[in-house]
Parts: sequence; structure tokens; C-alpha cells
Amino acid sequence: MSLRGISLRGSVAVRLGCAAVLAMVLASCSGGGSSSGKVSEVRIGLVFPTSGAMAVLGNDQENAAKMMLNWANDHGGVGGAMIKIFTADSQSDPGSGATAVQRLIDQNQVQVIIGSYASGISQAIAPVAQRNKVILWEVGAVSPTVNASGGQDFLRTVGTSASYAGADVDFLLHYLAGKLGKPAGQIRIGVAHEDGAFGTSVSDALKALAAQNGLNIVANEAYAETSSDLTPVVLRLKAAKPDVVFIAPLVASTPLFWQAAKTQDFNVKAIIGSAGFSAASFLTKFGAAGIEGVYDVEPPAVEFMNTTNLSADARTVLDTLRAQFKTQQGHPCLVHCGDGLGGTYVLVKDVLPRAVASGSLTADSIRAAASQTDIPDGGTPQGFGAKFDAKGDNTRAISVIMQWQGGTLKVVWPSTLAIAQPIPMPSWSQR
Amino acid sequence: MQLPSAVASGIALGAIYALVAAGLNLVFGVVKIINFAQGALLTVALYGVWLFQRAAGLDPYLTLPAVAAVMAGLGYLIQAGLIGRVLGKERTSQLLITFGLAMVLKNLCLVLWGADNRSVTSRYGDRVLGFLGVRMTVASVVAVAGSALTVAFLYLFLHRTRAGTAIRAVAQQPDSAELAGINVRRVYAAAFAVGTALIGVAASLMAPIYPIHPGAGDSFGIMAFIVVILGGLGSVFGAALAALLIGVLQNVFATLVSVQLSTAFVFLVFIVAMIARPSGIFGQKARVA
Repeated sequence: MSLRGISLRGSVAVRLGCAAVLAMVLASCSGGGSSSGKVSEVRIGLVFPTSGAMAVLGNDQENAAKMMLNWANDHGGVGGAMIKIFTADSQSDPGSGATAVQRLIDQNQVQVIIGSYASGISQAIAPVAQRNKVILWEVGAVSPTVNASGGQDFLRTVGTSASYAGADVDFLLHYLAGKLGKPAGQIRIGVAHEDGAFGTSVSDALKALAAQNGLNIVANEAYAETSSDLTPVVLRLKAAKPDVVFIAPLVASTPLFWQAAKTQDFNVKAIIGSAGFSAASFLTKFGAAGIEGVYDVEPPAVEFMNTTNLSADARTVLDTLRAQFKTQQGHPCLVHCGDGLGGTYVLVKDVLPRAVASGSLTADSIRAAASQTDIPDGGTPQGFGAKFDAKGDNTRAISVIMQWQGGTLKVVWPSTLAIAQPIPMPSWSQR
Repeated sequence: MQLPSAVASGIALGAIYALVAAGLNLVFGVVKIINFAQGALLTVALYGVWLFQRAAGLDPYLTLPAVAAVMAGLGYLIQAGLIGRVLGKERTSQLLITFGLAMVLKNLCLVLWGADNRSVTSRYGDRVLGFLGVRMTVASVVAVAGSALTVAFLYLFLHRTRAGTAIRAVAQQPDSAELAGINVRRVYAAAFAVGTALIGVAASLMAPIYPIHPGAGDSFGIMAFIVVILGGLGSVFGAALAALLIGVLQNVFATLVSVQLSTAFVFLVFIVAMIARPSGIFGQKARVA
């Protein structure tokens, strides 16, 4: 072996070693964020379904979140650091959502992902964020199975489906029982739900709360969201003679259920729905009289919410941005807009400034900052507060009861956020 | 009162299945083209009803001639430009081409009109009629009547018209039909056009009942295949009776036993029926409709 050969091999080895060191240095600069000194920039990726079946409401969440981020930049950034915004479309598909997140991390070095609207998409995104040590800031997905393993890089501002059940039961115990003139334990409750992750989680939470409170569920009907006819669901509920019905549908099954209820003259004292029950298409299909008095449980439609009990800052931000949203998008800021706006408010007004002030912006520093979050009720544009538990869920998030009155979906419960009093639900013959 | 209501709603549902299956019966049952775009074409036709109502302010039932005509034209173009190229080749080519067409049509609807539910209103379609203790909407009654007329039309078309006779001849023996002077390509195109026009008829009768969105036709497309095969390929009355049977069984099972298992029950019945009678319930008796 010649000396020249050894020299060449040594030179290659040195070059390879330098390349390895360079790669390690570059890797430490990606995903995990800046690690020392002053933070001048925060890189945030938005991943929502802006095309596909979920696009209508996915766009609302993304546009509201983006609006809040831009508002922060217009008001000095977060702790002096300006936000750089990147967006990617999850295409209403979990696999595409996961790919979009990985791309934002690899190409744009985002430090936080704000998403996702749907639980199925969030479930696919969360492990990607976790693997790359990037925070997933969830503002819309409600299934408790998202981040069930308790990964530390997940933080959710909106209440889980348990909050839907909690609001239902709270309203039943503290309002409906009085109106029905019966002890709560004697009220006959009918439950119907789509048999996917969302509906099943709401039903499970209702069963648990019913058992805790001695409530009587007389029927619990699961159905496929793709069903062509919901007459059997209505017939089975009717046979159980419930006083009130809690239903957790998605958007497509809602008009089928309501039409079947009308056809079969299925009357109860109160029906509390969600999802499709708050959709504009529900009003379009049946008209104001056709849905008068129907209740909906979700995070609040912030356009029709009482803001007098909000903190001054939350109220100012909400008033400004919901007007801006209505001008830009051509429709009011309702449930999903409220999710995007309110969830991002906590990020830019509370968590990120604290993380930036620590001098390092990593998943760990953001998580540490979030562990100190202690916003009282009324302190966010959605009306509830914020305090994160060990699994990253907001323990102060609630859902509210809204009711269709004169063609408008108004918050009627709890009283601190109510813009109107509940009204009796008319029977079909009275509509 | 559960059972009579369940049966009545099952008949209404079965009538819808029969409507959607009529066009497929002609295309798949008689002419043997595997059209996996049946559901997507139904979705397009539903949007057609919605657009015509918005543009002309018509009651959705009055849009029927226009929607059927437009769908017939679309069907002719699809056959001439797309499916005609793979006729005579492997069946998988037809399957894949029509599957691809379904994806294109669905996503085109999504791009053009978004994901939100659209609805079509009829002034009297939502009115409820009560008789013999059961309740049905006017729209459901119209759908049942329309389904019966559509099935009758299809039978008469295939058996009492020269075009229908030509279609049956080509379906049986395309080479002999060509030797007899029948333009086979034109017959296939006409059959596809008539089959797609029937999808337009189905959409006009369904639009007042169902929400319209890019996935609206999917489950009906699948059920149409079940109905056509169960009834016996090419058997017009067989498919209609199979549709009614499936609708009633599905809703009675859902009402009396379990809503969640009702679709699985229908598929179980289908599997058992196919094992017992592979040619379909009326497959042998009425092979050529």
C-alpha cells in the first residue's frame, strides 16, 4: 500500500468526519428550535383540512388561528419575537395530515404545529410531532383518544367530548329538570350517536356521567354516519318514550335524523345535538321555524355569546377579530372560528411569551411554559380559562349549550356566557 | 306501531335503491359494463338538480326532464370517449377506468361546489301523509311511485322498442348482432346514455329527501350493485323486487334488533342468497330482462 493511498484514505476520512459533525450541527438547528440566547423568531405551522370533506369548517379554524397570529405580530410579536407562519393542507385525510406536518418540520423548521379540526387527523399528526420534538397545539379535535398515551408534546385548548356530555348533564340537572318538574333521576334520557370516534366518545362520557348522577338513560342508539335512512333510529327512540334526547351526529346524518323525527312526529321536551345541528345547512334545509328551540352543545359560537364577563383583553381581542373575520370571510365567527381564535389566543398571549422569555424555544421550554398557564374563567375569547393537566388537556375548557331562536344560534347556558334565555321547544304540530 | 312504520320506511328506502339500480341494471346487468362510477354519477345528477333549481327556481321534480337529458348526454360522452376504448378488453380495465372516473367526478364536485351540504326544497315534498297508522313524506310517496314507473319504463323499453331489442341482441351476441347490421358501438353508447339518464331520474326524485354533498351517491352506488346482482343480472323486475326486499329487511332489522348491525345483516343476506342461488333470485327465469 502506497503512502499516497494512505494519505487519500485519511483525507476521505477527515472529510467524512467533518460532514458528520456538520450534519449533527444542522440537525440540532432543526425542529427543536433555538436553544440558547435571545429568541427573535417563532416558526409556527398551521395544519388544517382546507380541502376535502372537512374543508368548510377546517378553513374557519385555520383562518381564525391565522388571524390571531397576525394580530400578535401587529402588536409586537410574542415576547418581542415575531411569528413566521407556514401552512399546509391535511386534505381531510389523516395520512396527508401526517405528511404535511413532517414536511413543515423538515422544510420550514417549525417549532409549533397548530391543528387539526378532526380527531382522526389529530391522532395521525400527534406521533409525528412527538417524534420530532415539536409541539402540537390542538384547537379543534375533541376525542379523548388523541394523545391517550400522554405524550409531552401535545397541548389542547378545546374541551374533549367529555365536555359535551358535561354540558348536557349540567344543563339537565340545573335547568331542564326544573322546567320538566321532575327529579333528575326520573327524567327519561334517550341518546343517539354516530358510531365513529366522536359520537362514541360522547356517548361513553354521557353513560359515565349518568351513572355518577343517578340519571336514567332509556335508549342508546348507535348508527353509521353513512346511513341512508334514520327512521329506525327515531322509531327506537320513540318507543323508549324519552323526555329529552342527546344526539351526537356528524354533518351528513343531521338532516336525515331531523326529517325522520318530523315524519314520525317524534316529540320530546328538548333535543340537544351537535356538529350538524349548528351547521348553516341545517337552517337552510328546515328554515327557522323548522328548527326553533333545538339545542346544540359545542364550544361557543362566539358571534352570539355574552362577552361582558370576559376579561378586558379577551373581550377587546374577540370584538376586533370576530368583526374582522366576518368582513373577510363573509359569515360570522361561530364555533370553529372560536376554536381557532380562542385556542391561538392562549398560545400567543400566555404560553409563547413565557417560553420566549426563558431564552430558548424548544418543545420542552414551551411545555414548561404551558405548565405554568393559569388563566381564570373568562380570560379567553371562548369564555373559559386555561390550565393544562399532565396529558396536555385544558382542564378549564367547557362546552356550552346553544339554542336556535329565530334563525340564530344563541348561547343560552351557562348564564355567564348566555346571550338569551332558553325557550321551550315547540312540538311538530306547533312549528 | 313500530313494525308497520318500519315496513313502510323500508319500502320507501327500497324504492330509492330500485331507482338507483335501474340505470345500473341496464349498463351492468344487460350490457355487462362494470360501472363503478354509478354512485359518483348519481352525485353529479343530484348537483344537477340543485343547480337547475337555483338557476330556474323550479320545483325539483320539474327539473327531471332537463337533468335526465343532461345525464344522457354525459353518459353518451363517457361511453364513446372512455369506456368504448376498453370494451372487448379485460374486465379489470373497465373496472379501473370507471373507478378512476368516479374519483374524478367526486373531486370535481368538491372543487366546484365545496364540501358543505346543499339542499333542494320542494314546496310539498316535506308534507307528511298518514295512512293505516304509518307516516311518510310526500317526497317518499313520490319516490315510490316514480320508482315503479321507472322500472316499468325500463321493461317496456327493453321489450317493446327496437332500440331495446337491439340492446338485448348486442348484449347476448355482439358478433351476430353486428352481422345482422346493428351498429354495436352506437348501441353500447345508447345503452349507457339511457342508463345514465335513469340516474338523472333517480336524482330528481331523491334530491328533496337527501342532503347533497360530494359523497352523497357513494352508499347508493354500492347498494345498486348488490340489488342488481341479487335480483339477477339483467332482470328488471328481479332488481326491483330485490331492492324492496333489501330495503324492508334493512329497516325492519334496524328497528326491531339493531340499527348498527342492519347494514351487516343486509350483506349477510346477500352472501347467503348468492351461495344458495349464484345467478340471483330471478337470474335464470328472466335472463334477458
